[in-house]
Amino acid sequence: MDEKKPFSFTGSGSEYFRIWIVNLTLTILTFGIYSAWAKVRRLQYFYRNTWVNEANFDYHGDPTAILKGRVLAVILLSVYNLSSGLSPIVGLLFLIPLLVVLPVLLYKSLRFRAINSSYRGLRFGFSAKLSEAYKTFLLWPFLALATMFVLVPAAHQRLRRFQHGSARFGASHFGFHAGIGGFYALYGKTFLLILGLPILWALMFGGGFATISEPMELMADTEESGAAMLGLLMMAIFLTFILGALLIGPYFTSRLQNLVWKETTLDAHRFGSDLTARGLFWIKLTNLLGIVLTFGLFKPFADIRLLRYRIEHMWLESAGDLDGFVRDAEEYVAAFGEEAAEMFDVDIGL
Amino acid sequence: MLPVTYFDGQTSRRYAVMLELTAGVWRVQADGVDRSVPMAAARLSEKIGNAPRQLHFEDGAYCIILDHLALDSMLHAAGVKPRSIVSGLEGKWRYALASVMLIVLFFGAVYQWGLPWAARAIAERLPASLPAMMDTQTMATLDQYLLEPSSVSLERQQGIISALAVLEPVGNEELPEYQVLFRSGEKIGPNAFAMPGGTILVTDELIQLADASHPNQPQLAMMQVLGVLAHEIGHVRHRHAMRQFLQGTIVGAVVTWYLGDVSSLLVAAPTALLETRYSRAFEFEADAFAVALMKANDLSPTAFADMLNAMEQHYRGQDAGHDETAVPSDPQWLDYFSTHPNTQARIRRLRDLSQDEVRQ
Repeated sequence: MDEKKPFSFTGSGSEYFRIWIVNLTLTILTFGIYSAWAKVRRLQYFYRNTWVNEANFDYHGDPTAILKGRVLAVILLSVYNLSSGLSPIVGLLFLIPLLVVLPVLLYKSLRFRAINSSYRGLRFGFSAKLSEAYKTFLLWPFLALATMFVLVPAAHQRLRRFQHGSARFGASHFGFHAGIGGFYALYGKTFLLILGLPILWALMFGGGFATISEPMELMADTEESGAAMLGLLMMAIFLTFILGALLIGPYFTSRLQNLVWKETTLDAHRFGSDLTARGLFWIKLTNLLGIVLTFGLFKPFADIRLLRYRIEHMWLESAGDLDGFVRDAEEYVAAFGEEAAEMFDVDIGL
Repeated sequence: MLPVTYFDGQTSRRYAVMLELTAGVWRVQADGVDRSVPMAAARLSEKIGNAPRQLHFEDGAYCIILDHLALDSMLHAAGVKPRSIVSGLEGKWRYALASVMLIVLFFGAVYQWGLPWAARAIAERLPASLPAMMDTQTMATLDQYLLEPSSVSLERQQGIISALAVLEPVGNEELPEYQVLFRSGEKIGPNAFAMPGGTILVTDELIQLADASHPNQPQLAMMQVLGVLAHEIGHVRHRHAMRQFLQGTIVGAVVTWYLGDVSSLLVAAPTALLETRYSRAFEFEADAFAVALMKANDLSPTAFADMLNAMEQHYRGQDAGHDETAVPSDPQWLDYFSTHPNTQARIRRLRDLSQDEVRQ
């Protein structure tokens, strides 16, 4: 008796283009200060245009709090840069405490984002033990590195479990039930695809190699034909890389989103997602072409297209009444965590 | 009367209500709700595109308003003027167009002046150990894959190094620290390179080319090699290699960030194109340095120009072997996209600079 309620997105590229360009201009004219307001406006535009079950989301982040966070983050970064400029050892001395506080920053960032998001008048929330944050953001990445990436899928699963499993909507808790197996299967398939690409390439280019190498060997000295072969090989590797990123990237992203949301619950309600690698590939390819051909002006349109595609392939499977969620005591969190994390380019993602 | 959606802020229940604004008071009613809130106690969210607007009340309850036109006329009738400047800017295409032009100008200026300035500032503040390390790494890689030990006699190498060592710097400026290394270049051909840490790599082929163009005049051949090395010292003096590396890294990072995750390798193309202009400026700067240094030491900069000519002839001759369509001189527009400035243009400049001396 589960009822499938699709997410929908009502933003438009031409509208967002004007928001984006005004944001950028004001940010430049105010030497970056406006960037905090720009961020809030951007997120508000995205959230307010995201709908499910006849209601939209909203974002309530306070620009001044975000600005404070950004100023602090810039100061921290400059101190680090200056100190590492003096000597690598001093830089390292700054890096270690940074690594130690990073899990806390990331945790706070997730909290800030959640608490400032709302749906149907109720705020989201995020709470977990700090020890869990350290395990997720420090221990598991370290283990993944130490085992030559064998534990990367496991670390990834912990990250998603931390992100989704610690979230709340009002007083109701989200749950995350995907096991490690699903992540290993996804990584395994992706790895096989990566291995498969050069083989595909060899099949496509192999003929070319043979036809070129034969007359080359007859006519010219071996060095020359060697250079020609090398050129072809470089070309093939280059194309493999680009196509690999374009083809395999969407495969991984789409399957990951599907896996993660299929196993996410809110009370007894479930979520779902059916992105396809082909659909995502087409959007990314056309977006890239658009951006390159318009010298970057297509970027806001590209952002909207990608967002729409990702949102509109998600749904909520309600197990009964959706009016019964109640609010939870709200908490205030400084914006420092989120903005500092953003400065260090850690993408918290969907 | 405007049909809107109302949420009480306590539960997720959705109410379909009617909204009214009379005498400075918002009134929400129907679906079991009936409340009146004075305008001062309610907050209407700014308009962002055509996204719904929210009318927030102090207890967390709010209305979602979809009908912008109806809301605007309601506000207008109540005498409330829209006051958001940003929404106004976002609403009109002409402001968007003006913004585009402003941004193009801004990024043009950053590219023209900001980035070179930043790269120079960073290059000057880096600890000396870092570029030195880069040199060691680069040489190790080159030695392994591309270069062979030099076959130029040690005597000859020493002769060149000591001829450089006695060069008097221009004015009261000191010559930068540098180190000349000789290698057999094989496929690289006659050339010389300056690395970030002051290492200058000279190929045997360059020395052989100088010798070949002046078989019976070792003095002239030496002067040609010194000219090239003076040019490379100019690169070292102005930290061109490091600045180039930094500028490339910054441009690459920005383009990568902008294009997003897909395209890390497509970045190479725009980055290379954007970098070309810088390296052209660097070549001219190093040329000017070489000319000044040679003049100060009574060496003829013309020798350097001749050397460039010979190098170009060499590479052109090599190309012509494969490519029948090779044109005698690069057209101007092609020059704009080439990493090295049009060699003929450089040679003309060098000759001009040398003649200044004669006229004086």
